[in-house]
Amino acid sequence: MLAEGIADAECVRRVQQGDTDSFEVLVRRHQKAIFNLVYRLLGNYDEAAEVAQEVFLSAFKSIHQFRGEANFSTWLYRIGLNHASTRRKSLNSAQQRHIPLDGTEVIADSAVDPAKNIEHKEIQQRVQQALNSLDPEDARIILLRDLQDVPYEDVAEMLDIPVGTVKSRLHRARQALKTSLAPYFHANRKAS
Amino acid sequence: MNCEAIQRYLSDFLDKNLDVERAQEIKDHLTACSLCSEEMASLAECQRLVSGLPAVEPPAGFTNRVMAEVREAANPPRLWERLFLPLRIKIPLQATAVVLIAVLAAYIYQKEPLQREAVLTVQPESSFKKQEETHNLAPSAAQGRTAPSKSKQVAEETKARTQEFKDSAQLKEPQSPPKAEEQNKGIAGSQPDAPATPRAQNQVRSPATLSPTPLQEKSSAATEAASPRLEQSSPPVGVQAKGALAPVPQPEKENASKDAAAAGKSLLSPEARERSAPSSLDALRSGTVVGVALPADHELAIRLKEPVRDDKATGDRLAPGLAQAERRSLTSQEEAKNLDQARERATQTGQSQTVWVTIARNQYELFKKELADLANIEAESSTPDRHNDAVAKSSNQLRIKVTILPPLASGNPVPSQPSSR
Repeated sequence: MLAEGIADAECVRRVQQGDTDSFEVLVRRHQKAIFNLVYRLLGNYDEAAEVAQEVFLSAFKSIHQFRGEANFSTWLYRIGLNHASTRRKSLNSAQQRHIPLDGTEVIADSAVDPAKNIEHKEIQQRVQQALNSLDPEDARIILLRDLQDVPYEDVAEMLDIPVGTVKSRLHRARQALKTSLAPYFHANRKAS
Repeated sequence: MNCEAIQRYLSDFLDKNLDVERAQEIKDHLTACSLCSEEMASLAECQRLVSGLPAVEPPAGFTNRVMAEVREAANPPRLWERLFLPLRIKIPLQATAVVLIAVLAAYIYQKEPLQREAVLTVQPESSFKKQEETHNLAPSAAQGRTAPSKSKQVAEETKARTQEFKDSAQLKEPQSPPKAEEQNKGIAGSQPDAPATPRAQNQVRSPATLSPTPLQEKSSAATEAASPRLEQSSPPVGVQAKGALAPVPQPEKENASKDAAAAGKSLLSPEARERSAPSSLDALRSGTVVGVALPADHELAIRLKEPVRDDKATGDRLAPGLAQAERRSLTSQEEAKNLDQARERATQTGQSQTVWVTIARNQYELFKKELADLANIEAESSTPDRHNDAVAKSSNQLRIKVTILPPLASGNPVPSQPSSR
């Protein structure tokens, strides 16, 4: 039976010693975060599922290189960001990116007014579209900070940049996102 | 701080990353400045919207799929497992199988003509004998072969037979009589001059020459001719000699006769005489040579008549004693004996026999007439070289080379008229 309560470091150690089943604990523990990060970076559910799978497989293959100097999640996020960035570049070169309207967005409260649900969904699609239109660096830093709530230090480690740079880049990325969402804000203010 | 400086800290202020003093300063500014306050509201809204994005669940079975791949990476399947288990890996195996089958089929298809050719090369040994017995070929005798080495002959023969079988295969109806005739032509007639066709060469090298010698005078040449000497030539020549009696179209006969004369020439020339000694080893296999192989003024090839089919009168005339008595008047006793022995041997062994006799020049026609009673004269030729020889011209004697061919099997037609030049 898999011990769900053991720390990432212990699971990693076991996996490094050949216990492949221990890696399943890590997968179950981090799959949702990795999948959401990748999904928001790519904006496509199927692509995200494929890339997230590659991320975990890649992590397993290179787990012997993980020395425990950072959190496993930080190391895993870095792998996820690299894979997602590579896929995003290939997707961008293949076709003009657009907002995925595949209905995968989950409305939090189904008891809410259906009109509100539609409005929420529309807002989420606009935000996703704005994220897709951002520079990948900006999108990554916004998602790490505002979506995943990753501390500045971890973001700096994931992106391999100083914390100060993370702050300035985050500020620049938020300004870019605000500009991208400006029409929405303008309409919202008019409506209110 | 002015608005520009304040707005640089708005992001940090939003994340509560500023110290208390700086945070208080910005808070005061935002209260007073509507522009910066609106900017701050926009940034907060952006953050709220991003963080408000709903979490998306990974697809069902995501963990299992990941772990399946992880386990596969941990324990890579062996080669045979890769080849046989998953469909996407099986496809290359099937493609490889298809390619292999295609290559094998192409190889077999290319090899098939070679095999057919090989069969054709071997098969003719028996089938050719049948053809030679069934179909009549151009007349030829087995003697006088100054052929090169035996291996070369065999190679040439094989090549010729293969070519003939290829030709017959192209005709597509090898069994039909007209085509069979064409095959015969191809074998005996249409390529008589082809040096690579040993059959044609054998047909050509078959003339016999007679040289008359008076009985009263026994010149040294006659004595030479009378001395017995036996030679054998190869069995295939005997078979060919058998087939050589079959009727062929007249042009083929003429060609054969021309070539026969040429072959006779080679025998009569001094160089050829020297060569005839080693080549007599070949001759030992096909027939018997009675007498000394000397240059002859005439060569005669005779086919013994079949005793059963002859009428009584002819049979009487063929009686050894009577024939011997008649020939004694023309040839010496020894030569007559040689002739009788050769005739009997040809009948018994079925192989051609060659005899040299010497008769008087003016008795040549009479000698031929006597021979005609015994057998059919199938080929006759004179030798120009010998005629040009001053000594030969001055002599009153003729040296004749007689090639006695065994009687044909019943049913085979015998040419009634000898070809002569």
